[in-house]
Amino acid sequence: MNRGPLIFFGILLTFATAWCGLVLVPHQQLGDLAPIVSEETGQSFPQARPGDAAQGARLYASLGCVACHTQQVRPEDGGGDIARGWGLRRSVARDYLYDRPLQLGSQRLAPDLANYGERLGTNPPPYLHLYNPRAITAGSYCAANPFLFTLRAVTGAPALDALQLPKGFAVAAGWELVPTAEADQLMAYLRSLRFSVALPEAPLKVVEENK
Amino acid sequence: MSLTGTIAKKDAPAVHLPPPPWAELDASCQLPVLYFLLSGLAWLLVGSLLQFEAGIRLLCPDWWAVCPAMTYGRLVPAAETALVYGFASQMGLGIGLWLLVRLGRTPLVASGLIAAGNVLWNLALTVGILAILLGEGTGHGGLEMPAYSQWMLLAAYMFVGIWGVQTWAHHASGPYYASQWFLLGAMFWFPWLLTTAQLVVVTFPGRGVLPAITAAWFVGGIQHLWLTPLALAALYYFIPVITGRPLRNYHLAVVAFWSLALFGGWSGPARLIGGPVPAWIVSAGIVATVLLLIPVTIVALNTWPVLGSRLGQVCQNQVLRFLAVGVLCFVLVSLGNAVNALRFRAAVTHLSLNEWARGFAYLHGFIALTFLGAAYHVVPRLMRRDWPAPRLVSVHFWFTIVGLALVVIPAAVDGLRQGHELNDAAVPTAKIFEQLRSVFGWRVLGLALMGAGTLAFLTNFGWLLVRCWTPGIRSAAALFIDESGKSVTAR
Ligand code: HEC
Repeated sequence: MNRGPLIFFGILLTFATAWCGLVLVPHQQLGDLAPIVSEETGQSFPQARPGDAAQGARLYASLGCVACHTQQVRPEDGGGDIARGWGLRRSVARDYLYDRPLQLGSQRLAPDLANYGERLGTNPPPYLHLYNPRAITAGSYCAANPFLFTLRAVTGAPALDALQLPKGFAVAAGWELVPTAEADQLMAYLRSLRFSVALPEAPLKVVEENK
Repeated sequence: MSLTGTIAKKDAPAVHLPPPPWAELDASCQLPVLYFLLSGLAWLLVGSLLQFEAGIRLLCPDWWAVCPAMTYGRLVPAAETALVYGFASQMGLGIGLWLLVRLGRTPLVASGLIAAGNVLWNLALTVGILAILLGEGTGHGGLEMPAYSQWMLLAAYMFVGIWGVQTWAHHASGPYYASQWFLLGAMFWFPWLLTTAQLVVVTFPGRGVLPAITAAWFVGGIQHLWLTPLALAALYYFIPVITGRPLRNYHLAVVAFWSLALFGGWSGPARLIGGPVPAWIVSAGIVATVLLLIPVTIVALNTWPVLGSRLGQVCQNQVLRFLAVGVLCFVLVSLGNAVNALRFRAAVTHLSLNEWARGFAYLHGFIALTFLGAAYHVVPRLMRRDWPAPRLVSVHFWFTIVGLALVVIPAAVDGLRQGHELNDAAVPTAKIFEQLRSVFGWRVLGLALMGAGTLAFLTNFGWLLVRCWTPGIRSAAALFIDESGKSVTAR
């Protein structure tokens, strides 16, 4: 007996349900999600990243920071992300409209970075951490990126952006380590990581409590 | 349903076959199957090395740090690509082609073209993995290779898929065995999965989280609609053939097939739980992941009674040992996945090392052990010669099992701690991550053992090939190996 065609048809059909349900329908549902414009400030959220931060996003993906760092804040009933201070509200689809490539991550071997820009605030950018995390946190297993810095002889006054290296990491006298353009781009990207704007689908936690 | 009828009537698949010209059939597929198995094994070694190197990176992060190609974030996706597309997919294809020939009792169609497909496949992977290490990766989990090598891989697959399905269709009269169903499904689903994901995630990515949703669907599909059915096809053939006993409750196998086909396709988004995607998508994934327990239970009902009734043989037989642990891993991992898909569990285990451990046990336990065991059965028949060093098979087995346990158990256990502590804001973040170091230590040790096991297999394989291709050395014992596989262990 040859039931080949029938089996084949079933194989096609079962697959097609999931294909429609998980590929087609989400594209229908989310395909025209748009930024939201705040009535008070007239600013739209989220905003496209400026050139250097967009370059930095490419670099972040290319170096695989996502292997340890997630960029997603789970809802309060689905984990302790908000309590830990990784965000003021859960992350939703709208937050990522301009994220390309998307770096949600599937492993948390390190702090979540979804709101890293917010956490950083006005603090100086963590170039030293980027160069070697152990220069700041002994025993950290965060990846070092010495290739994002140039070692060069000091000519005249030391460069303004030269790294202030702690003991044990210092370079030879007369030399300095300066960030490359790529390091600056990555930093611009890290700074741009924030979504603390309330959305209709995701109010901020503090706002909720004040009500 | 008539389909059930067809499959149910045949109680003992592949056991009561009349003796067809096995030698001729094997000869028809010798070259491509051998290519696929050998390159699969080579990629296993490469993937294990990359994984080992990544583990070292966690322990000594400053060693080799000046080289961006050796950074943790590139080694991990490169290793995953090598293991999924290089090792598991190629081994699965090699064994699948051999099964199509055996079960259909028909020679392989266009074996030369299939072998050419294998060469192209390896080329695509080599280019793709080098590209990842050089920073050209796409950054999408599961689809890390740049578009050009993904398309090359798809083209390579077409050589195999088209002629594989042709071989399937040339099946000698009689009902199809469950293994053949699984093979047909896998051969058909894989190109569809890859093409869709390629288009929607990499080539023309949708806005925002759309690529993540498609990628989650794709990764679930690669697991449950590609690797799992290939491995089940192997289990459903080798277990009855080697034990000489029919699978129990065989009429249920058809339910296993269709439920896997349906829920496997829907299960992917469970991995987006808590993520920034519409809730219904995640819910669908959770429901499907739990319902996947239906095919898993049936696989257990089909195989465990047979393995249980032949425990003595299972412990002795080189092939059955691998398969039995493979089935065990499949059941345990699926159970773990179903339980941890539930929202209250996922709040703890999602994104933790516990989740990682389940993924590792799926690939290196279920998939790898099944294919490796099957290869121990297939290769001597293809070459008409027995393994030169049966001891090395045992070395391979024990090194792999102990290594697997060292990698998986500490990660699964400590992952629970990690998950709980991350949810407890009173525990400082730095402390949580620092404590993971001991898990990484066990991981590196386990990976080293597993790599040594793989080397043992490759040594045996190389030795066998040298013997076969050296004229003059022939041992009569190897000329015939009976179908029960006994002579693989005993002379
Ligand atoms: C091997 C895993 C790993 C990789 C890969 C990794 N990190 Fe980290 N990262 C960590 C760990 C662990 C910490 C916490 C300890 C510390 O601060 O050093 C951390 C901390 C950080 C922090 C500080 C976070 C905070 O909340 O203070 C930043 C910023 C950061 N990493 C950026 C990056 C970037 C950018 C990359 C990619 C170039 C990267 N990391 C790759 C493990 C990793």
